[in-house]
Amino acid sequence: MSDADRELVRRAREGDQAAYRALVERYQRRVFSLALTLLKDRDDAADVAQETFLKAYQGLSSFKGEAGFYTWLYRIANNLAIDLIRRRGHTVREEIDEELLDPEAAQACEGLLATRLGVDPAEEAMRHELGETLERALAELPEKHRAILILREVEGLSYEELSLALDIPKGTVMSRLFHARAKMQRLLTGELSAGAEGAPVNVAGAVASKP
Amino acid sequence: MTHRASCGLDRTAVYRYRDGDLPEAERRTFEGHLGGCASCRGRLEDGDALGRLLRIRDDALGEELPKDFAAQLMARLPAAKRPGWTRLLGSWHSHRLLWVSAVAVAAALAVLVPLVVRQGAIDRRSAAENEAGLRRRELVAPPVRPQLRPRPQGMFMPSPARPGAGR
Ligand SMILES: [Zn+2]
Repeated sequence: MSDADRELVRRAREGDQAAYRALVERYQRRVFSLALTLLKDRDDAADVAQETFLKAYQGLSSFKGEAGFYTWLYRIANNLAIDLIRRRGHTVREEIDEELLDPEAAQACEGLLATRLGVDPAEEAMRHELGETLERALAELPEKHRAILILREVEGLSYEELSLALDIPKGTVMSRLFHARAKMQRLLTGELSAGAEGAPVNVAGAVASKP
Repeated sequence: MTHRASCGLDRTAVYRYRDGDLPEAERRTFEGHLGGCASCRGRLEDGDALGRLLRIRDDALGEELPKDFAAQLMARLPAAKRPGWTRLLGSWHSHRLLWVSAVAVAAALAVLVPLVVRQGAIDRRSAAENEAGLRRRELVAPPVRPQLRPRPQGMFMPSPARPGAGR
């Protein structure tokens, strides 16, 4: 845990609400975007993010600090989001990783996504078609794969932190990340290939080729 | 159980390398392998591409956070700064012993005050009556007191063995 977080947690524990607000402002976007990725609904995501920070505040005295404060927040947020999905009567997809992957299909894809994307995707392009492509692909992943991808690729959690945040052994972190990436890359490559024949294409090209 | 890449390497190795999870020696060995293995390089580049996409997406997601999120949350937090006596009330658990003692003292007073008052009235009686009365009371008092304690349990608290037994 960073020294700044440790100090803010210590002050918040003593009842300093300004210190807790500083923690909220530091992590609100990250907690919210994890919740939104899992729930796909802005209001639900905001509710879960609120509950996450409330629960964390109420549990400050039990927070040991062996992991980062954000690792602890993600753990609470992930559990609350999964609970909400279940309460809504939706199924949380729990299929076993090993069954998801066709090894030969995955091998055929190696390097293809990077080639299809060509150059750094421009932010403007992302907001349009590629953004939709990405959302469609993400929506096809089980929640556990979405969560681990976001926590690793966006939040930069280490394998040890992922193990704590998702309450899974480190070996499961490795295999889950592997399958999440493989499936995501396969879905994206498929979508991008369907959109534009012939390689290499960059993102701008892929977007421009659509009518 | 272990997945092999086309080059024979454990396929999670590429990602462990990319995610900074390989120990120094393994990292260097892998870097040596990477130079001659297009398959691992491709997987690595795919990982980078996917990471870039997800980060750009996340920047856009963050924009959807309600603007008053922090203010809303702060309004929902239990109050922290309170005057001393309310803090004492609020921290019931940490002062549990104090409260239990206070309740015990109050209960003892409720029992003893009528006795003392009664004793005062008795003291004002005649000497002959007083002596006899005191002796009688000493004989009567002991069986009365133990009855005071079982009463709340027996009369007001339903026994755990009989919930709904009357119906
Ligand atoms: Zn290789």
